[in-house]
Amino acid sequence: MWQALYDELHHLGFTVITVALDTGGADAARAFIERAKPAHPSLIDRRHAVADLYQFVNVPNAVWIDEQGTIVRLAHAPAATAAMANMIGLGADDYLNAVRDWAVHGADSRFVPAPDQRRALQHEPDGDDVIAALNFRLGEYLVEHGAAVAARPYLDEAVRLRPGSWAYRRQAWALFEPPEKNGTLWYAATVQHPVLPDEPYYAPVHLEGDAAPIDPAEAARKQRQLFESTFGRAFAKRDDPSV
Amino acid sequence: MPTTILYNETDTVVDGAQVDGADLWLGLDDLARASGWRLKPEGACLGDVCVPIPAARRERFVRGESGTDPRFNLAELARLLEMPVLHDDATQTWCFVENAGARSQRMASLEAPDFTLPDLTGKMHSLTDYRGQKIFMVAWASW
Repeated sequence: MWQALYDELHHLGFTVITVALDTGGADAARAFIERAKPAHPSLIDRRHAVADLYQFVNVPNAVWIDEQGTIVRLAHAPAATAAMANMIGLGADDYLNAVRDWAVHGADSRFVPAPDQRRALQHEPDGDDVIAALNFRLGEYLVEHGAAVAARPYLDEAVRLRPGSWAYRRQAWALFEPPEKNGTLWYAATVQHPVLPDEPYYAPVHLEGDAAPIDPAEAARKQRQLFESTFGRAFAKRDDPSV
Repeated sequence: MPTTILYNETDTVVDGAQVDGADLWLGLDDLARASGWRLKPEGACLGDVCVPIPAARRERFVRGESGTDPRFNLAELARLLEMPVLHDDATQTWCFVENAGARSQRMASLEAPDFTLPDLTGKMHSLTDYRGQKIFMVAWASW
């Protein structure tokens, strides 16, 4: 989906870089990348290093970086589809149009907040976030080097210390749970027994010029309803899967 | 068993590390290789930045200084710098990451941190390879 954006905007000095946050590495990502046949760089990040550096907590998460290497929009969920736009509180094409505006106008785009505004929105890493990252780094290394059993307690600890990181949680499931169980685990954690009842799965995105940003708890409720109507039939189980 | 040291982005395997509970004594070459830190008269130095070794407890940081196999306790330095440390005894893997304060400072600059990652063919790409373009960077996953 981002290939189309690349094709459309590349002539303006704009590029897309996709990063697979995937401890499974090239093997896990290959089929998707080969199907997309991207002309833009498509990178593999087994350690979730980019997530750590840019404070990505789920996928998709994106940042905008200008020609001088300055972050102009910090980590947020991007919306290439109407469904995703709805989840983050935007109209169908609002997000893509904002990207287009930035590609055309650069620093003069109204979708580039002033630096102080960016700083105000930054997620300040706290002590637990850092210990979570420490555990994830160690656990991931052990997985990569064939010590999955030794790795598990560290990855579980990363999830425990940073419950807001769906990337940690979903990556741990992908590594340690049978694939057929991942959907029900996800549904249990997002809808049936929400791990973060007042936090949305994707934080709402506020574009400059919009009406006031959506209340996170309201966004959480709305997203849960959407998940229920879309995935309830596939993933809801009569027996409590968390037991 | 060799000791694996994960120090920020760097992974190093060393032989002959002396591990003693929460202490990790490395030969000075291994110390530099694994972490970039070098022992100098000014103290422990990373590039141009030096941290004085607390005189009253130098023996917690350095031993065998005048002998043939001087050792430096990287774990003690990490504690001095309030750097989070974790070690897995079964696999002899030690992990050190940047603390929250250092992260905060780095993030406040709004500079996009550089990184180097492979594509599917194994070719390495750094963010700085794309300096001069507007970059829309998006993370995804198979999970």
